[in-house]
Amino acid sequence: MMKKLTTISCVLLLLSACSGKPQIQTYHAKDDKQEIETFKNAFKDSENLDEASGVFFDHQLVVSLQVKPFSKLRKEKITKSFEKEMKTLFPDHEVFVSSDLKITWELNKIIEKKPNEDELKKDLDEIQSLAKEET
Amino acid sequence: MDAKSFQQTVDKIAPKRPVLKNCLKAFLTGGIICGIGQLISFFYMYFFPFTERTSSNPTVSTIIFITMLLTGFGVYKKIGQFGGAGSAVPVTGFGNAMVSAAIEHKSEGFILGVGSNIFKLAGSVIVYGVFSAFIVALIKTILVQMGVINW
Amino acid sequence: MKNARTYQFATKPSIVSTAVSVGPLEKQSPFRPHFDHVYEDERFGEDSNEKGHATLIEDTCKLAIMKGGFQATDIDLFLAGDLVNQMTPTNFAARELATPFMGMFSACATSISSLITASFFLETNQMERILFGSASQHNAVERQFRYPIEYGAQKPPTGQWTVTGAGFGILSQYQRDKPYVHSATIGQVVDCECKDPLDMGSAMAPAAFDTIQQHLSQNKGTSYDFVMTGDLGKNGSAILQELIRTSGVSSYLVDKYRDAGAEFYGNNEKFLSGGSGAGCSASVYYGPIYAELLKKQWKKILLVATGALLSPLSFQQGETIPCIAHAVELTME
Repeated sequence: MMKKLTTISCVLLLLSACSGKPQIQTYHAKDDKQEIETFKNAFKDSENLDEASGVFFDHQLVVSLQVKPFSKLRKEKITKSFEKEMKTLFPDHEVFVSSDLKITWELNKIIEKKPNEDELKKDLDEIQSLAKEET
Repeated sequence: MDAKSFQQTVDKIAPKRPVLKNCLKAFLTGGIICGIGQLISFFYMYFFPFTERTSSNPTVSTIIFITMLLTGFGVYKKIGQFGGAGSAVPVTGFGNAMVSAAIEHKSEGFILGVGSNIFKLAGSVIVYGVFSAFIVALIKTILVQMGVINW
Repeated sequence: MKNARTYQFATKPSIVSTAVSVGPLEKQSPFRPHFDHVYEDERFGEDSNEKGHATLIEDTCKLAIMKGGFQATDIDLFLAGDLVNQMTPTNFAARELATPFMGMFSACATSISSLITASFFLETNQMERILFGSASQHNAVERQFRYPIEYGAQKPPTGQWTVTGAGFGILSQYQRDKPYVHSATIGQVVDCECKDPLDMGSAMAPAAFDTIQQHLSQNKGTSYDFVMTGDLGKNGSAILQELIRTSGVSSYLVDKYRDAGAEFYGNNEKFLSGGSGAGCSASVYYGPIYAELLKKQWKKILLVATGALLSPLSFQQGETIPCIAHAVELTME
């Protein structure tokens, strides 16, 4: 009985790590539905991500990703490839992609807060300078 | 009696280290220490403007501070006897090596005692860590110059 | 070829008084009722372990002198040693006792080597009272031989715990109601090529076996109440018993065999293979065993103290661990 339970729970745990589509959140300053749709499609089928968040503002796109634990070894490569993809999808936007957990938290806070244009600019600048810190 | 046959007697009778049990205990201990470290990391990231990358600094400092307290109170050696490599491999082991040597040599004063002997156990780690970093950097520089890899 | 290792003492030098003091951890020992004093402070009121070690020796010696009804000026010679560099704790204690002094080093076998030497000196009839014994303090010895006390290195099950204890006695001319030294065997260095300083029991067992064999071959027909080694520990004892069993030499001894180190802390696993150190054999031999002899519980016993003659430097240089064992036969009529 005990053995069966442990095997089933192990299988379920493995499966949960293997599949599961990423949770995508977005916030657009001008609420451009098409850009949001393009963004979502880029991440929708990714096997490596737990979640992806993006904020659009005045030709700036700030993206944060959370990579699945098993894919953490290739975190840098995955981030770079998504950065490239974002750059090709939105050629007139200044793109910034990060996989840092803190950046994700901060970005999600912004998405929930739904600030107005001035505050949004300040928040996005803060996030980018935070991500650039070395030590 | 010759050494070889005596060694056979010793091997037969002397209690062996329970390797599998020790590995499991080390796994548990090391895992818990690293788990606590991760929690400390999240704490710094949540309450302070540290990113995932920069939070490693205060995390390591905090863990070493905790190790220092545990060593001073005589608790760390009990963790060490239980966990073996699980407590020695994370930065806690390094901190313990330095703090225990410092405590031991306080009776000879701060300069000749603590100052000279604080790296008694950790010295090898530092010397060979720096030396191997130098070698690896040298190899990488050569390979980059040859165009085999990029920075 | 003359046998130059086993000697009989015609004058029957007697151990007229003893004293044993131990540190706080040794409270747990089943031998506790026979310890004269259990200190609460492992540094004995001093500000360093080595200074405390010296105080331990000094206090225990003074107690032995007082118990015998003597003064320090009655002592003709002080023979003792310990495990610390240059034996400074014993040297400093000797300074305080202000008696003629000769330091002795036989590692953990010093408790018996000092007794053998004292017996020979008394045989010359030029001395009347000799103070002998040895001591160890856990922290000072760990610092000398192994790692800092608070270091979290994992000790293997063959490891032993150095006893904080001192055992000293006064040897004098024959006295009727005291145990006397009947004969002794001086040890020879035995090296079985063991290299592990965390398993001294295995290294010392062959030395104990060699000395026991030598003594028994020179004392054929003698029957002993028991043979007790100093600090082989649980592991070393098992190996010695195996050596005795397979050699066929007086295998009855396997049943009458005890080890002070294995018994010192009882069955407490925290102390791994048992007690060790110069103070281990001294505090057991000159405490509970001496008390039982006085009560005429035993008639003839063989005490074999073992010592590992290594240093931290010799170990780092890749050397093996040579060991020695000295034996004394005590008789109580």
